[in-house]
Amino acid sequence: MKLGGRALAWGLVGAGVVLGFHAETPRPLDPPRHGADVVLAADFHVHSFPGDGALAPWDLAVEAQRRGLDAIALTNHNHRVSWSIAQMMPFHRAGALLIPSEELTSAAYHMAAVGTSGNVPWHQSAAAAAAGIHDRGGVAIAAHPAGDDAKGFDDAALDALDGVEAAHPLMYAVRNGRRDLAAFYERARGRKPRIAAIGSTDFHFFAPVGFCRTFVFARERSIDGVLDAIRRGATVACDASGTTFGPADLSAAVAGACRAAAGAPVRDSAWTDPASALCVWLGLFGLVLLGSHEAV
Amino acid sequence: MNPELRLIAAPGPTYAALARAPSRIGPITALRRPLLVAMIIGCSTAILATRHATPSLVLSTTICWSVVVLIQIAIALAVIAAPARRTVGIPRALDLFFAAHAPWSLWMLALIARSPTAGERTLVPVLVAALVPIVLTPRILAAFFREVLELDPREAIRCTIAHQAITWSVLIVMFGWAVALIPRIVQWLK
Repeated sequence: MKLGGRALAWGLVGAGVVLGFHAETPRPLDPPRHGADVVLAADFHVHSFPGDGALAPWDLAVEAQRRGLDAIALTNHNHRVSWSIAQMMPFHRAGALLIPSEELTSAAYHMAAVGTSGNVPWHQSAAAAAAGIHDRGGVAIAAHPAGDDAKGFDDAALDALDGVEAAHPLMYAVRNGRRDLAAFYERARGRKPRIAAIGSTDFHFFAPVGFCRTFVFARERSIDGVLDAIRRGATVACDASGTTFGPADLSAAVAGACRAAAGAPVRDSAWTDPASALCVWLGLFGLVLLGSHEAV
Repeated sequence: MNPELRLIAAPGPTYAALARAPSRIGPITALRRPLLVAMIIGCSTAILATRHATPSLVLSTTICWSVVVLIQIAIALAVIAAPARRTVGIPRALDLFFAAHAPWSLWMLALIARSPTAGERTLVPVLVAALVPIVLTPRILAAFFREVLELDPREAIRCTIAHQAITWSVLIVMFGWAVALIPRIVQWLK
């Protein structure tokens, strides 16, 4: 009886994994155009394994595409180990464009260093850090600039920034999060009217990546194209409620896409997605409940 | 009730019975429980992060996060190897040691059932629920040292404290590196 129960539990785990087969390689995205630009969806704040993220870069690339993202930035805290590991892997799976990045985490600010060619020291002022990011070919984005994490951004730092996270999950998770982010974005725009509005998930362990996202009006679908668009301020931040932040003309162009992407629903969603998770969960739960074959 | 769940309710008598029971556990079969734990961690991570499970995703997350199991094995071997040699043998001791993982396995499966999202308002219930395995595990391990490795009660408690101290120290160092803990502490002190 117990042996049959264990076989059933293993069968459920196997069935769940088999059910997930159809989502193995998501359909490639076909980004829309806006004049001469291609409109890419990106998440510029994603943590990965090894670090404080759940998924390895190659898995993130596939999951991001499944959530309708064209590009993601790998932003672990003060290191780029996951990017280095991803570069060493002999296989390259399909999926979203991966951008080498890190989240500079200091006592006074958090700053996404996106598209850099190497590590940037974090124990320096925000303005100096932004200069270091620029020296390494990247763009500097103020990460969740609210509360204590905004204190390090003086006027010199604001002048050096390329972008500001105007949409971030702390809008939903923290009291006054939405108000604080909006205030910082307005303050940055006061000094730099075309500063890029960025929407990011700050993804760690809990789905979905792309919960908040950025629409990027890029000249081309490449890392250089994305970074250039951020420098030009040709971006629109999109939160999980479908609200846009950024230049009015660009916001109007992606308002519908933002509403459709709100909360990062799965593209080509099918009943097999939750069914696969449920089967695996039931199987594992059964294996723990039934335990080993030993009689005591 | 199976041995793993009985360990939660009555660790002493259950480990005493398991240690007495005839067993032919070799170095390979000793890995069945650690492998199940690695699979639970890998599948849980995949489902929490994506809400589905594909073959390559489950394989990838299980391999990546098996580093946690490897660290647990290394710490366990450092603590249990010497007494295990004169009692049940290292493979059987390792097998029974991982039977103590059931509380953490159940917590992870409960976390999936709770299914937090990226915009979660509070994770306090999840963290409070983790107190259950945090409290239960040392109790089970003390019984393991006492009944399986036949240490006297005082020595069993000493080994349990040593094991938990090493485990949590390694965890804090890894977590500290992953989240850049030092600047956060400086920020908090300011």
